[in-house]
Amino acid sequence: MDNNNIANIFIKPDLGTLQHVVLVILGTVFVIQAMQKLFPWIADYLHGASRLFILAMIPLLRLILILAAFILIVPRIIEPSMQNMLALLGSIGIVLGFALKDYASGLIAGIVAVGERPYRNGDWIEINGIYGEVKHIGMRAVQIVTPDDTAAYIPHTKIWNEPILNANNGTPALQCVANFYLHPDHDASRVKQLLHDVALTSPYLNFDEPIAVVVQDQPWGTHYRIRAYPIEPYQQFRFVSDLTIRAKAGLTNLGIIFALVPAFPKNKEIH
Amino acid sequence: MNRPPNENHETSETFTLWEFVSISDFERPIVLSTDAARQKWRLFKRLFTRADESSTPIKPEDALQTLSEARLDQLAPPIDRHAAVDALDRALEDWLQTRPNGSPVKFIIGQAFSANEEALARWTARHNARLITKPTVEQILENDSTWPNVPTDSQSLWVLPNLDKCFLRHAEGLSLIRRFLALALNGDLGPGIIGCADWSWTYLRRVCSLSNGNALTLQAFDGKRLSALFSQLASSTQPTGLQFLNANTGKTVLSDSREENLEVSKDLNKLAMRCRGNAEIARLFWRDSLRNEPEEATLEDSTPTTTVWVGPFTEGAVIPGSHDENVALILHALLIHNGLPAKVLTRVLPFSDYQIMDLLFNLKSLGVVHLQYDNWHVAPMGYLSSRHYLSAQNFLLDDF
Repeated sequence: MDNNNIANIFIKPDLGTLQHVVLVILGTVFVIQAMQKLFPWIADYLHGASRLFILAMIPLLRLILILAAFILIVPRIIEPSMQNMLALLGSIGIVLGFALKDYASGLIAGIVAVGERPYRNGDWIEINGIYGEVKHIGMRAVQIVTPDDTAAYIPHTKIWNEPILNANNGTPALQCVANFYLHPDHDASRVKQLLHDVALTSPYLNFDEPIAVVVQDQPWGTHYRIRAYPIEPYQQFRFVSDLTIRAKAGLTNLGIIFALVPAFPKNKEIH
Repeated sequence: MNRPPNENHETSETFTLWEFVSISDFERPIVLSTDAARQKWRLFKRLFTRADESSTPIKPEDALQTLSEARLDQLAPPIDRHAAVDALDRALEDWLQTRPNGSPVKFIIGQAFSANEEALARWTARHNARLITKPTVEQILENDSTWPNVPTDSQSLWVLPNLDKCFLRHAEGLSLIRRFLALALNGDLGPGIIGCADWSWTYLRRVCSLSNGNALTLQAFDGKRLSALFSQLASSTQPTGLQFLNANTGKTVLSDSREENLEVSKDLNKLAMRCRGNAEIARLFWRDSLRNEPEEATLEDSTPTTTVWVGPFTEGAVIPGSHDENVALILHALLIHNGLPAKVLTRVLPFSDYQIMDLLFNLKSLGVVHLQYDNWHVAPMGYLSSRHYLSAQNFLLDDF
């Protein structure tokens, strides 16, 4: 396709068309920005499923707005015929395929992420060992904030070949695990009952979800795990701390000895 | 049944003012969807219109004055619980006569501020039953085997009016109540009545696997019941000649005329819905809304018909913000234990004593909690906002 043919695709621009295109772009940007501020603000006043629903709507609505803007703009700048559309999309495809391959892959993965929803705003996810709460799903990357209050930007392309671990998967139910390592010489059923009661008496406990105490013998002692759910996912660290502190106090009261692993120096330091 | 005749305060209404029902039969006054939509529309309109553009009230707020405590005590005195004790007698009559082996225990669940413990104590005295006193905090934590000190295999009736004071939300605070409930539900202690606060009951149902099957509670006070109750309260201290008019519309809210009271005013229906059918909370909001005209202050006892104006019902104590998790935790702990001393709160909350005291004093200054005989409680005027606060944060709520 020579330069003249490409030029023929486009409608001769006039001031009105330019104004229209600029207005649509500015309007879309404004609405998206407003939505990205307003929805999290509303979500901050909500809890549980309604909060997660509001947050999850943001990327979907943004995609719809961008598509709508695209549909409004394209007929204004090119003759909307099949031939022209194929020529334009083909040209865009070549540019994206060669020059901006990774970026285009990120954008497509972003659209898939909105459709398949492996993560939504408000979810607690782990990708490549980075764990945190999804704060923003952008066009190219997802922003998560780790428990250390560090923002991590992870490209959506990770969904092609990395496992995405989603701890609450769009619901308020997020299982927490508190681990205890005890000397093997003790009454296991008594300890199990105590740990169950520790969970039952936590002020953060979500009563709609089950509590389980898992006991497993190991060569060095007995490993106990309390599996329970906090009321809200963001309480997970306070919940685990509360379980740990109160369980340790209860175990100490029962005279239970905690397992100790002796610290050996590394081989090269042994003389 | 050895009920003294002079204790029968029940009116000869066509309906029963005080009635104990099973929890599944409890009917909270509900908001009709049309009323709710209308109210939301009014609130929405209020955002765009100035207050003085709305209809002019019959008696503007500044033309009325609040009543003295003495006058309020005449118009809305504390509720006499004798009638509730009579109602409890009626509810337990069959069970007392048959005493079925399958259900040796009846639970009486008290809604907030319903003076359940007091009513059960009176009932115990009336029936010469054995009153089981609550254990101390130390006894709870040590699972003291000497408590409850009731001979097993006894067939005499016993009453524990405050199950809510027999546990702590603490890893070592459940063993005692579990042992007691196992004995009681197995019939080893003989027939017994157990009183429990509603929030504690909700928690204990999950912790001790209790069912609502053998539990009774007071039926909710709808508009009709509130109308009868407020009439009764006002007439108990002032025989005749009272009318309560809405200060905004001038319509009758309550009068001592039986004909007029047949149709329950919308204001009382709304109050019942807002207070979730809780008589004591409704009484306090009612008391808070009563006004009179300044010149009536001197004439109030001399005119044949005295008009008392009913102003808008207040919001009660308000908890600012919606996110303070520590506030929610402290309110929830107080409600679940039906009040606790500050030193015991440290055992059931995950923060330090000085943080707890800071929060308590802050909430006290807002009127949300109050201190009563060393025990911190959620205040009646702060109850609705506390419940709403906890509900918004998905905490475990009571059934009422």
